[in-house]
Amino acid sequence: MRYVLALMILALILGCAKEATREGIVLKVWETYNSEERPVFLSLVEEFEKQHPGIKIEAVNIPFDGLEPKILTALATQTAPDIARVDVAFLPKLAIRGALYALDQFRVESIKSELRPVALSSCIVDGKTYGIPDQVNGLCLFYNKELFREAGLDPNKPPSSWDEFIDYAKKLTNKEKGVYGFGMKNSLWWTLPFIYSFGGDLLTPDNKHCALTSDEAIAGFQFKVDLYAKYRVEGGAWRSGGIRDDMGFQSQVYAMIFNGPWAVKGLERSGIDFGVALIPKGPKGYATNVGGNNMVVFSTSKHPKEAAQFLMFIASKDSQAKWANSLGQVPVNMLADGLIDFSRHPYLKIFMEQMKYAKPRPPIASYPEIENDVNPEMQAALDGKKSVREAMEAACKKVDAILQEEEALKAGLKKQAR
Amino acid sequence: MILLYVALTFAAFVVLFPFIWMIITAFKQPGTEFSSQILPSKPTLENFKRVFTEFGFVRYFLNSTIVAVSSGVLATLLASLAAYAFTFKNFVFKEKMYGLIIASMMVPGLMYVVPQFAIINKLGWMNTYRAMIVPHLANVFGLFLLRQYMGTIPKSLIDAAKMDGANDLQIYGRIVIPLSLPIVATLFLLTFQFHWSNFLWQLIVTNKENLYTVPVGLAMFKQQHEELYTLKMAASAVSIVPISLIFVFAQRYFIEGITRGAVKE
Amino acid sequence: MRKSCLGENLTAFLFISPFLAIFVLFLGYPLIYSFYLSLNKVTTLVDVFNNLTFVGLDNFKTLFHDGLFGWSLLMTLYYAGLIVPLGIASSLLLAVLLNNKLKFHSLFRTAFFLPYVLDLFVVGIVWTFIYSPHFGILNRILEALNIRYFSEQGFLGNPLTAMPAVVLVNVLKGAGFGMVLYLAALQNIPQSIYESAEVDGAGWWQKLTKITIPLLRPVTLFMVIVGVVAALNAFVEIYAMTSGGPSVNIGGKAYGATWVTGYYLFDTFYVRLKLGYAAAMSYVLLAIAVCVSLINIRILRPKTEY
Repeated sequence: MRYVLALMILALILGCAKEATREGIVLKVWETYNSEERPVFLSLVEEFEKQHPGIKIEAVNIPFDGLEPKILTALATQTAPDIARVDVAFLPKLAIRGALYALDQFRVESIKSELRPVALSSCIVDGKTYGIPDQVNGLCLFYNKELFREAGLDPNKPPSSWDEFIDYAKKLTNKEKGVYGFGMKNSLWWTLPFIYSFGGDLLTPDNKHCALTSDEAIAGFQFKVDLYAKYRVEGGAWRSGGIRDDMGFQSQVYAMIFNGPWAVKGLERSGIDFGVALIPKGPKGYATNVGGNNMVVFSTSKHPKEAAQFLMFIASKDSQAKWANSLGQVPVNMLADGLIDFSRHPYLKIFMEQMKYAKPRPPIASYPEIENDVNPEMQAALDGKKSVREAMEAACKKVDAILQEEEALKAGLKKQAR
Repeated sequence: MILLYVALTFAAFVVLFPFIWMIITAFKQPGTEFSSQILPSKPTLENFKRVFTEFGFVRYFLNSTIVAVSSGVLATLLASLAAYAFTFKNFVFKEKMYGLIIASMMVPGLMYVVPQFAIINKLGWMNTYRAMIVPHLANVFGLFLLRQYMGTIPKSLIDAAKMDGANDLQIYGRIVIPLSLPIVATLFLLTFQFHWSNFLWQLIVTNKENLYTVPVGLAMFKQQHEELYTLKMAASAVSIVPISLIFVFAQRYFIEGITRGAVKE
Repeated sequence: MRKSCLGENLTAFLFISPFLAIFVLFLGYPLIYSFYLSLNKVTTLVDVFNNLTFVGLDNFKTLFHDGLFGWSLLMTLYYAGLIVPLGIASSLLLAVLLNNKLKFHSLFRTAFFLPYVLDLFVVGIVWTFIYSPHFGILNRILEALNIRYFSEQGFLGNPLTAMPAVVLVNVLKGAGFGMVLYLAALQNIPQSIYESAEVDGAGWWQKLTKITIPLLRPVTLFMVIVGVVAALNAFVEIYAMTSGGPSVNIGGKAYGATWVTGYYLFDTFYVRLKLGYAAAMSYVLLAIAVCVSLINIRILRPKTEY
């Protein structure tokens, strides 16, 4: 009992951690870098502090799963930090609800022309710039070279078109041995490369309606469904309870999967002989989707100008070159492209090549909602409970309802602002 | 009888499947957690080492111990005091108040987070242990559990003590608590476990990495796109050691109730 | 008499005051606040408390017409209907078995308690493997017995078996929790009652059904109510295993076979950011839980005081 009391008293004392008072400006940053990225980020912070003596950066590493709830709670009580690193899909949600500074007033114009357009576009909501991209990626095709060899395929010649892909996948599928040519996820984002490569899209060009019922989008999704249902080359990774694509790739039951740059390190350690290629060409050429993270400044920040400076520093040519060279990630700043040492990162060239065919994200705030509503419909189609057209029609009804709701919310907010 | 042992052993094996997997994975090389080999081809202690050197779990354990032990003790104390009054005393609005308190646990926990945070913020308790401990000290589950249990203590015992001139504090301390020891100890265990795994709240009230607790630390292994399973399993394996030890050593004490005969007629 | 009544009240309030103080501040106030939230619409995120738009009962009205909410309630009832009785039965069974002089009982107790302290995500991953189509252990066993029904969809991918499969995992994980509670309660049953029953020639079954189970009623009531509350809050177990799927096609719309209200609530709150709507949902859940609890209190009220 005495120890317990002592512990409790200790708790009360230790608990009163004092806020250190410092000279100058302190910018608080909430970030979600992983253990490899973090040291690189901190060295960039150090450099920034050296260049800007009056500014200190206080970075807190937040577990990715808790970031959004934490931000929402903090915003509600006006205790958010100055800066946070958020998923590209989260930015517009914050932006339309008045949680972010539009950075255009802080002369970010100068850097915008240097940034990869697909990355920058995810920061722009209703014509204003609400963040600076800090990481951009898109899906590529990962394939198992060993399984390629076993199937009599050339491990240095990944499939380049969907027709070839089916051909390869059939050869790779060996149900006796429990090997499938392909493993895929059921989610809208992971389906977009199929839809794009057939010329389809999620939304109509004015971004006001769902476009998943277009012939092209249906053809794209039909192709994905066929991989499982017709050609029988997919192992059911998309199912709830199926062996997930990345896990199955590691245990060598799926010979090909979609994945992104983040997977390289883990696969290298696993000792699997793998290759990375562009996602095969469809009738409308190569295509992929866009993901990543953006840095934002919260509207509660007292030092938005300095915060914007920091954001621009992270996205600058030199910082991005360092980032790309240390981590093998696609730089968001195109001027850094020329400074990359590709010999250290054999796959980076493919990732950067793939980004040329990436289609910008739909500029809407309700993308995560759309995902959650569309996924069950797509799953029903994959499972043969619905035709692809029926599924896409049902999905579009939901998407249109969400878009309408978003319009209404925006209109309401505008009225409130006035 | 033998059949029973076989059945129990089999059942134990099935429920321990995840546990076994966790231990095996903790010894695997990173990147091979899902390879077709079930056992690690090259077992390694590297994961455990990295958890404590690279990821600061020493501090997380200290923080969690402080939070879980003080919460466990205080919440159990508060709940047992209140349960005593609700079981053995008559007072105004008793059942109405009790009903309201019990109803509060039926509102999904999600709804409490933002208002609770607002209070913590008003009190200036951000980044303190207090913020992690105090809001959960009114353990409604605990009150409910203890009252359910105390209700089975024979009223005659209480009355007899009153006859002997014992006051409420004495009855509480000398009769009710000893008789309820198994359930009081259980409640401590459950409260401890709750705080040992309460991720979201402990993350929300801290903006400093040196105040992170074990569940927050464990969540760090789940990154945006991939999860560091070998490290996470190593950390998880270590993280369940305290509660397992408490259980192993305390079960004799609180389940087999050594205080029995003494007070029972 | 009046004086002692006052004294009685006073001591009682002294006993509950520490609990009550914390309750009022950290549970009571948020409770009232979230009710107020349910009558509002949240639009901006900054300083939510001062930026609410009052909409009256609109949230509740919308909820009434929300097909997905209705579906989620059905699934929650299904989930609760499975997990509460199974959870109680398995906990009771373990407690009764491991309370007597069985050899290695403390070893067994520890074994059954351990899963309770494990992270649900760890448990979820492992069971996903066990349940998975083609490669899963369970499916391989069944295929060896020539049952191929699960080969293609596995257990979590089949709308008919997904919910029972999730429930089974949770029952196995949670049985240790109930076991401990029952074990503690078993200590309070005087040995003398059993002894006198034995004198009357009662066998183990009679002792179990006529003495043990009735005398454990208070704890059973606790288990039922806590179980129902947990079912209404179910989120992590679903998130870790099925994400609300697999899809069921009803009237042209796809619904998730494990899309329980707790999951929908999380989605509404943290993804859709409809805080007011989520609050309304919570209050509907509260109403349901209170009704279920009252019915259970009626049923499980001890018939004999002793």
